[in-house]
This record gives sequence, C-alpha cells and structure tokens, in this order.
Amino acid sequence: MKTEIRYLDLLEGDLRRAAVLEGAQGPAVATPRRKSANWLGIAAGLVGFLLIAGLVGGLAGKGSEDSLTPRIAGKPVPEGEATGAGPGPETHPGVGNQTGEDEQATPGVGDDLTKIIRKGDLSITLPRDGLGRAVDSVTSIAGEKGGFVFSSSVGESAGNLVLRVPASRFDATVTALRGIGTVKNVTISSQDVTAEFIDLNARLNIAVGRRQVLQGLYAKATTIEQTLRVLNALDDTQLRIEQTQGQLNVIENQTSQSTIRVELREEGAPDPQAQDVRNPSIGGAWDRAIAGFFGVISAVVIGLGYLVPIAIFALLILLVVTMVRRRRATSPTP
Amino acid sequence: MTEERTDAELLLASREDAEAFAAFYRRHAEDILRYLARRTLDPEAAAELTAESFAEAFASRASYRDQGVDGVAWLYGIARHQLGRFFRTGRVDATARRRLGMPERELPPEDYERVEELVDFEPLRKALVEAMGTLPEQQRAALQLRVLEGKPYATVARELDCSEISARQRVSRGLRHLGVALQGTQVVNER
Repeated sequence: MKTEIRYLDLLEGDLRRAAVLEGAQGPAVATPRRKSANWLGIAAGLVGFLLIAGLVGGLAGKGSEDSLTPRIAGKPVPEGEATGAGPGPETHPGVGNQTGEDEQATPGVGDDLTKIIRKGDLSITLPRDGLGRAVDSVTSIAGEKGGFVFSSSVGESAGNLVLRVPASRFDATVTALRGIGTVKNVTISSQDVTAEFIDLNARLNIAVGRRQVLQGLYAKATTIEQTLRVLNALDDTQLRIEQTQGQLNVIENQTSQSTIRVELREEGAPDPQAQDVRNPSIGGAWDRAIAGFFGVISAVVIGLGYLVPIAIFALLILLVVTMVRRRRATSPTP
Repeated sequence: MTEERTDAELLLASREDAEAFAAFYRRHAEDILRYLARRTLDPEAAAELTAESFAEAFASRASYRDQGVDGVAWLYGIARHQLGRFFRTGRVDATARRRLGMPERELPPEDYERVEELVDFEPLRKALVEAMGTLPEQQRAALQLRVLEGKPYATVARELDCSEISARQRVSRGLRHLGVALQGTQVVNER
C-alpha cells in the first residue's frame, strides 16, 4: 500500500512481519482482548472453588461429628437394676467409652468399688390441662422408687422437676416417667468416678494410719516441745481425714442417688427458655465470631482436601483432551 | 479478487491467509486514522492508536465471528475501545504491538500535516477558541500559530524561538488537551 501517509505504509510492513512471525509459531488462535476480564474470571473461579471447598468441608465435618456424638433421644431405656457404668456423653476417661446405643452394657452389681454418677433429662409433652396430673404422677413415681422430688418449678402450662432416686432404681424410674406423656427427648449421662473414689479411699487410709502413729507418739511424748509437735501433726492429719471423708461422702451421695430432671409442657405451651430474653454480650459475640472464623477456615481446608485430588484428575483429563484436539486441528486435511 | 471480498470474508480468511488481513488493512487504515484523529485532535496519538487498533485486530482475528454485522464494525469497536482507554489513562496502550513484536513507531515529521489534513478543523474553530483559554501559554501560542493561523512548523518554531521538534510537541500536547476538553462537547464529526 502506498499512501500519502508514510506511517501507514510502515505499519503495514510491521503487520506483515508479525504475520510471518506468527506463521513460524503456529496458526492463529483466539486471544482474549481484555485481560482484565480474564483476571476477573480467574478470581471468580477461585472464589467459587473455595466456596465449594468450604461447603464440602462443612458437610464432611458435620457428618463426622454426627457419627461421633451418641444419640439416645426417643429410644427406650431398658428397665433394670444396673448400678454400673451406662452410656452417655460424659464418661470418665480410663474406664472406656461406650456408644449411645448400648444401654444394656452395665458392669456387675457386686463390684462395690465401681462408682457411677448417673443423670437423666426428660422432656415430656402433655395433653392440654394435663400438667397437674403429670406433676402428681412424677411425685408418686419418685416416691415409689425410693426417691423424692428435690426441687420443682411449675407454672400454668409447663413445669420442671428435679428428682433424686436411688441409683439402683434409676432405669426403672426413667421407664416409669416415660409413661406420663409423649417423650420428646431423653438424655442419659454417666460419669465414672471410680478412680477418684479409689484414690480418695487410699488417701483416707493413709491419713488414718498416720493418725494412729501420731496418737502413739503423742502417748510417748515426754516434753512440751514433743507434745506440741505431735499435736500439730495430728491436727493436720485430722483435717486431711475430714476433707477426704467429705469428698468421699459427696461421691457416695451422688452415686447412690441419681438425679433426673423432668421438663413437663402441655401442647401449645410456649418454650420457657424462649421467654428468657437475654441480651447478647459483645464478648460472647466476639468469641463466636472468632470461633466462626476458624470454623470457616477449617471447613475450607477440609474441603480442599476433598477437591484438590478431584481437580488434579480433571485437569489431567482436560490436558489430554486439549492435546488430542490440537493434534487433530493441526493435522493436514486431505 | 481480494478487493471483491467483504470485510467479514477477509477477516475469516485472515486466520489462514495473512494477505487477506493486509487487504482488510489497506481498505480501512486511512479511515481509522481519520476517525481517531478527529477525536483526539492529536496526530501522534491518532497514529499510535491506529497501529494499536490494527495490532489488536490482527492478534484477535481468530475470535471474530460473522454474526451478520459488517466486519468493519468489529474493527471500529476495537478502535473505540482503544480510544476510551486513551482518554482514561492519557496515553496509548502498546500491549498488542508488544505481543506481536511490532515496534512502537513515531509519526514521521512529514506525516504530521497530512494527518492534520484528515481532521476537518472548520467546525471546531469556535469551540477551539473557547477551549484554548484553558491551555498553558506555550501550547496556546503554538496552536494559535499552527491551527488558527495555519502557519508551517518552521515559522511556528521561529516565532516561538524554539526548535521545530519542540514546536510540534507543543502543538501535539495542546491538541491532546483540547481533544480531552472537547470530548464532552460532541463537537467532533461522527463517521
């Protein structure tokens, strides 16, 4: 092209040289005109990938959590005289964990050293105007099983009672309470304090033995100084004995008497917990925000563990397909 | 034979045949330069924008799809995109030329007047006078001599007591500022 404008001729030459250069490298392929749009697309793809990873990680984490948490709601608690370890979310380490489904696996009754603190929580729905009769029934059941109503709070259509019953009658009491109305939820928890009981007993025995020795020394003391020293040691020992005995008494009380909380609510009655309006605190909100932040991070990391291998496989397949297509595109047509 | 093909046919053929793109270029290069010169009022910028537009068109010709619209509309779309970027950033992008290995050429001195001739300044004179008041003294003086009085660059340089290159730069920068200032007034002619 020869124009009056030399620049355009030079430009044509530059374009021809570019065509020659391109011909040496390969046929023309579509090139994106707008890099900014490509970067936006890449960024959107990454964000989408991370979102999917977070979703996958969250579902995976929830699934594993569900499989580890025992569920006993609505299941019949077998009636029995077991006083040993029962299944539940609170189990003392060292004794071994049992699943929530195994209600019948209890240790032997004759093992006096086994100390289990059992607690129960029942939520029962009653027919309208059935609260009064239900409260009477609960009180009767507690008495029949050798226990008593420790505390109660009863309103117009809902109430809460706390029962203390002998540990040996725990299962029977729960079974009887289930007959009062429609059970919405049953939670049984056990805490094995056997090791602590044994330890306290051992300490008590040691302290008692020490006291006997000190009493013997007190009888043989000949000077005021010796007498005062022995008396001081005796006081310390006695204090330790009383403290240890007190702890043992608490365990004895808690293991011999089980606690059962019963929540009674008539149909249509408002949830008393929902009426208790508490203004959220900033500190609590901050803690939840931090927990949420780390929860999201962990979910994304878990999800990436699932998605990265899949993405690698997909990229390999895409690479193979692209290479096959390019080879077909560049092969000479007959 | 090449001249008989439509713009769309030339663009589609250019994927395999570089000569087809050359024919497309010859057909529209001066029009694109005129289009850009009338909107920038700057010969240097118009020339660079023309080069970048055709470089971009050549680089992305494989993505052209004949959708029933005149093929040259695709080219003008590229030119408008480059023009918009020029007004936003104040400079001409050279990405496509660098990608193709094309040099970034300066407008030869002898082409300045020819490119300016592509711009019909008559409709612009009144608006130019008003916009001139916003320019720095040196640029205003250069434009006064060159555009309003039509004096050659040699005379402009002599009267401004500067070199001819400096005179051209002052005119070019003045026109660039005027182009930006006049962009919103819709004074420039549409193709």
